[in-house]
Amino acid sequence: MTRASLHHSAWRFALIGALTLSTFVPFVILLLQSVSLQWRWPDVLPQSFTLRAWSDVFGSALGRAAVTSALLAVTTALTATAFALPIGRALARLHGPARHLAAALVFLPVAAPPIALGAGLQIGALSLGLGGSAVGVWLAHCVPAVGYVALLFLGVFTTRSGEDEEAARSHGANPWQTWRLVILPSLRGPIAEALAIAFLISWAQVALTLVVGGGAVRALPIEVLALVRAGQEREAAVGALLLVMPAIAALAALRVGVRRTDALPA
Amino acid sequence: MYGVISPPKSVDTSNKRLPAESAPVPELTSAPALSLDRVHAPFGDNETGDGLHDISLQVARGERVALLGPSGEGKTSLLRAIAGLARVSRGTVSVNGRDVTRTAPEARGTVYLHQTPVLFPHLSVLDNVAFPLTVRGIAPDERRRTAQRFLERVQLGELGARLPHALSGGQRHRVALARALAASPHVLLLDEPLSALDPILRREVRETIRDLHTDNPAGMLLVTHDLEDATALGDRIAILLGRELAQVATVATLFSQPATLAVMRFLGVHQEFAGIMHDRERVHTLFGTLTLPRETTSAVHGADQVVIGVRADALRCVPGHEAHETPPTHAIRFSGRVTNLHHRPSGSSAVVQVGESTVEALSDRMHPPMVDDSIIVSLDTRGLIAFPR
Repeated sequence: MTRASLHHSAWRFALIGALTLSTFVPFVILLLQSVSLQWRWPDVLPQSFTLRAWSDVFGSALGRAAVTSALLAVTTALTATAFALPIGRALARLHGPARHLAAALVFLPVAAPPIALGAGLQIGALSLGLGGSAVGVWLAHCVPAVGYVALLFLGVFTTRSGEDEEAARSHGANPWQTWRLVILPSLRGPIAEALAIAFLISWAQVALTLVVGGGAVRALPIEVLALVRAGQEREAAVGALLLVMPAIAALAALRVGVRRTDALPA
Repeated sequence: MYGVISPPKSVDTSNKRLPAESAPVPELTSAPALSLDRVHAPFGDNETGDGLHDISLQVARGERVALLGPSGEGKTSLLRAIAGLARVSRGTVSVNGRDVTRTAPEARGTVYLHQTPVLFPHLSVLDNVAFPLTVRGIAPDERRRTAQRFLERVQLGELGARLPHALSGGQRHRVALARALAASPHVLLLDEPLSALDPILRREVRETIRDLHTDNPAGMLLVTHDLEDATALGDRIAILLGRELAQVATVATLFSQPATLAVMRFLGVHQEFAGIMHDRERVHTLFGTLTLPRETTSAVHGADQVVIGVRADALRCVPGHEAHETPPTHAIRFSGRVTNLHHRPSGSSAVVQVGESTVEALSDRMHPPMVDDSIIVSLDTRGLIAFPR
């Protein structure tokens, strides 16, 4: 091995090490914080440990908030995917300026700062009598989720030739049968991705939940925020780790899915 | 044999039709399977008039018509318009006597096969073939039995459980054909079914198409840009040139009497020579004065300068032992010098310099002339055709 290649390898290891540290250190700290009974500065590790914060999750405000968040995220994922799929397909069929304009409209809620979006949606929710309600928050979560997922389906349908739909129709399938028997089964992968993305958008949503929910809808991120502000560090760490779990699960599922298609090295 | 269909003796003839209760067998009517009446089919969504014009064509029940033309003439567009997958702006498309111009693709009684077989990747081979029966609501047991029979007809009875990605190219073609026939269409529309196939696979798929269509009442319209495929598969050939149907005829008629100079040139089986009309029947050429066949004189009536088309097999090098014999009345002879020789699987020919021009004449493979030989060439005037220049 030459001196230059040794130099390059050292740099490569250093960069990978730095990336690994920056990725994992916050989670390690959260994990330690969630089980620490006493952890004083400048000690590197807690002096004593407890699992109390974890065992108290069930039945606590944190647990209830996790259930609320899960319900919101699941309904948002289902609703957003159901709406975004036909929207993405319709966008993919447009041509020229109409397509760019429509895509920009879909992208607007994605690009807009959530707090600005929330301010606008709050007025709408209040006028509909949905301010401070879970239904209002669910509808608010759907706005950016539909945008994200519609863009995903726009990409999917843009690259599809549509020949399978034509073949189905030509072999006697009506439009509904074509959707049920051909299009939806062939979109299993993108639909799973869309559900995961929409779920995560809702699950981690702070600004829209706070503004439209008005503090009355206690979703998990709101509860974690409250615990941090109250200085309940152990419970806040447990809540933060709960928040991270679906993301890790989604990444693992994506990894499995991608490996199945040989897009990543084993 | 290259994995082609078994001869009929191994096939239960009852399998060639779906049971009456499982699929609609095409009705016995006197109407053609497909009838196009002055169809205008625009390309894409354009409204500029760019597209096919005034296409009128009939395909009889059980008949195979090959739609032949250069790339970009709109052959695929026409097929898609017939299938209901593209717009017909004017004219009428009738299937089995029923006007389907504005009917949805699934209700037309046509099946359109894409150039590359489109099998549904999430369905097994058997379920792919059973698809047309599934959408008709046929009971699962019956549709599986019927699909299995169609699979056996294309010699893939053992592969029903496989997914499409595990099939070879030829197998995919055969599954697509089996599925198309399982739909019991009145009209089968095949879009370039043999392009992009290697010669062995090409022969295999060609024989599959012929075999599956034998005794099938469906009319077949298949698109190709390959003359050999068209002549091998088509009972008649429709030539699409300049976005209009230039001629629809049997292979024999097409080669002996191309309707226009453009058709003759597109077919590419004739040698062309200039001529000047002497009177209504005779024309001066570099070979001497020729008498045109009666069929072609009306085409050049009133013309002064003409183009003479001579089929390759009408020009023949005269062997030495025949040189002194009196030629038949329908032949003329002229002399020339051999400048080149061509040897092909189908036969040998000599390029012969005659005055300022050259002709290519068939030669005896066993005793070919040599380059620079002076030889006599015989021209059979019965195969001549002429067009105004």
